[in-house]
Formats: sequence, C-alpha cells, structure tokens
Amino acid sequence: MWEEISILRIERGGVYNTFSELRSLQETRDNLLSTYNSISKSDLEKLNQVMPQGTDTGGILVSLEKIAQDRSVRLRRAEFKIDQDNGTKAIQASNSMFNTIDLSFVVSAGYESFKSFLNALEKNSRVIDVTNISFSVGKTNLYEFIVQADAYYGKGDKKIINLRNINVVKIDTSFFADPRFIELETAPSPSTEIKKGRTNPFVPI
Amino acid sequence: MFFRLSFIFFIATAFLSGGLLFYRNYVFNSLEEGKSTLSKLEAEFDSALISEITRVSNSISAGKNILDKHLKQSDIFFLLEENTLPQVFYNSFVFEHAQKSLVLLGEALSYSAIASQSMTFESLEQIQSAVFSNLTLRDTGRVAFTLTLNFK
Repeated sequence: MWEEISILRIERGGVYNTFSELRSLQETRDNLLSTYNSISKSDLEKLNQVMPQGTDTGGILVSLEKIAQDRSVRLRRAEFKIDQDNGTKAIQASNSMFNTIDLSFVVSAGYESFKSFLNALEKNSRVIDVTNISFSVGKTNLYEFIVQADAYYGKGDKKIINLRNINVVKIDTSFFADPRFIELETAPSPSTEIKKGRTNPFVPI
Repeated sequence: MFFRLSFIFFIATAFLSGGLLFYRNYVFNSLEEGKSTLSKLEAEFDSALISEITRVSNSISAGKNILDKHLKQSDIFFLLEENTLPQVFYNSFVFEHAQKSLVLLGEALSYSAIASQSMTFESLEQIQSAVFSNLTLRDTGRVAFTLTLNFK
C-alpha cells in the first residue's frame, strides 16, 4: 500500500506542478491578449495584406489593375508561378517565414505613367518586389514594360500543440509605428458583391 | 505475557493500516480534484484565440523581414534622369536585380559624350562599374553603344 501511496503522491506532485505552470501560462496569455487587443482594426487589416495567409493572387490582380487604371497604364498580361517544391526559392522559402510567388506581367504605358505605376506598386500594402524590368523604345511614346516580381504569403497557421510554446510568442506592436509600414497604402480589395450565373458561359461578353 | 504483546502488536498494526488507508484515500482524492481543476484550466485556453495571436505574431515577424528587403526600383529611373547627359539617349533598358546590373542600349552625339557619360556614372557611389561596349558610328553621325551598369 505504501508503494501505491508513493506513486499517487508523485502523480499528485506532477499535477500540482502543471497546475502552477498553467497559471503562469494563463498570465502570459492574458498579457498577449491585452497586446493583441491594443492593435487597431485597420493595422490588423493592413498586416493581413502585407502577409496574407493564402496566395491571394486575386488580391494581387486587383491591386495591379487598380494601380494601372488610375495611371492610364494598360495591364496586358499577368502570370503567376507558385512553386514550393523546386528551385532555390523553395529552399529559401523553407528557411524563411513566408512563401514566395513569382509574378510576371506586361504593361503598356508612357515613361512617366510607368514610373508613377512603379512608385505606387512600391507603396502598396500587398507587397510586391520588382526584380526585373525590361523595355525597348518604339515608334510611339507608349512602351511595353516586361516586369518580373516577387509577392509573398504566409506559411499558414501553425497550431500550438504544446501550450508552453506561447511563452515564446511575442507581439511586437512597434512594427505598426514603423514608417515603412505606415507609408504602405491599403491595397484595393476584390469586390465582395459578385453576381454569379450565365445561361451560356461561352457567349462572348 | 505473550498474548498481551501479540494483542498490542495487532492493535498497532490495525491502527497503522487504517491510517495508511485513510492517507491513501486522501492522496487519491486530492489527486482527482487536482486533475479536475487542471482540465478546467486547460479548457480555458481557447485554441482559436491562441492560434490567432500566434498568426499575428508570425505575420509581424514576416512583415518586418519583407519590409527590410523591400525593393524600390523606381530609384533607378531617378538615377538615370539625374545623371544622363543631354547628348545621350537610351532605346533599350534591361534591369536584373539578382545580377545587380542594368544594360542600356543607346546613342550619343559623339565619342567624347560617351567618355563624359562614363565618368559621370563611375563617380556615383551606387555604381560599381559603368562599361560601354559595342561602340558603332551610325550614318546619322551618332555613336551607338551598349552600357552595362553594375550596382554595388
């Protein structure tokens, strides 16, 4: 019987330790929650555009089209490549906190309009890093700019399996006061009012 | 005498066993009570909320990383505008960030204009090298060139 009591006491000691650990984790969680609640809704929305959880290529298209339209730039072609399995970028991606989308597009624009387009793209909260630009001067003042760029998205929700891991979670709200974050302009959102349905989807519009 | 001693021993053993049983039950009950409190406490940790907090934390870290390396290629056009001589123009532009290079095809009014242009670019702190090649005198009297700018 004494042996049984010893085992029960050890088990009870473990429960008490876990109990006090949970109390401490509860305090950590409450502090995190209070920090989380201090973030404004607009900052959270902008953060979600900087680091969307999915590829959100639709959001990129909406941004490109809106920025182009506002500057009389014609978006003539756009292509996305989402490849997490091959290549250097995949290796980089596995070590980084986000995935990369290879984006290429062609725009037709005048020189000044293209500069304005590029400038607006650089300030867009759906961050797009232009890596390559090429164009040739033709007979008119409209040039075809071929652009390659990188866009980013999050690596998905990492579930906290072990509650103790919340001890390492930090919410650095100073990021929202960073001038580079403040300077970003909120990206246009895709329309939520979508009218669906066509009798014959193959009839040209 | 022997009977008395045996009786005392028996009573002592009975008391001890009873005490142990009582203590065992006490430990067992407090263990069960502890487990129950622990379960309630664990249930208070809303996993959806913790996931959201973790997501925001990860997004901030990733966002910082992205803004640290955010590229602003529009500066290249400002650099060209500010530093191209009036005797020089370009008709083709190929920029590759990975190579940190910009290849421009263009024409200049003279070879000396190209020499001045070369010196202008090489004097800039952002430029590692400015290399003119394929210099060809056109029928128009202009000199065609390929200019490769390598950035630091």
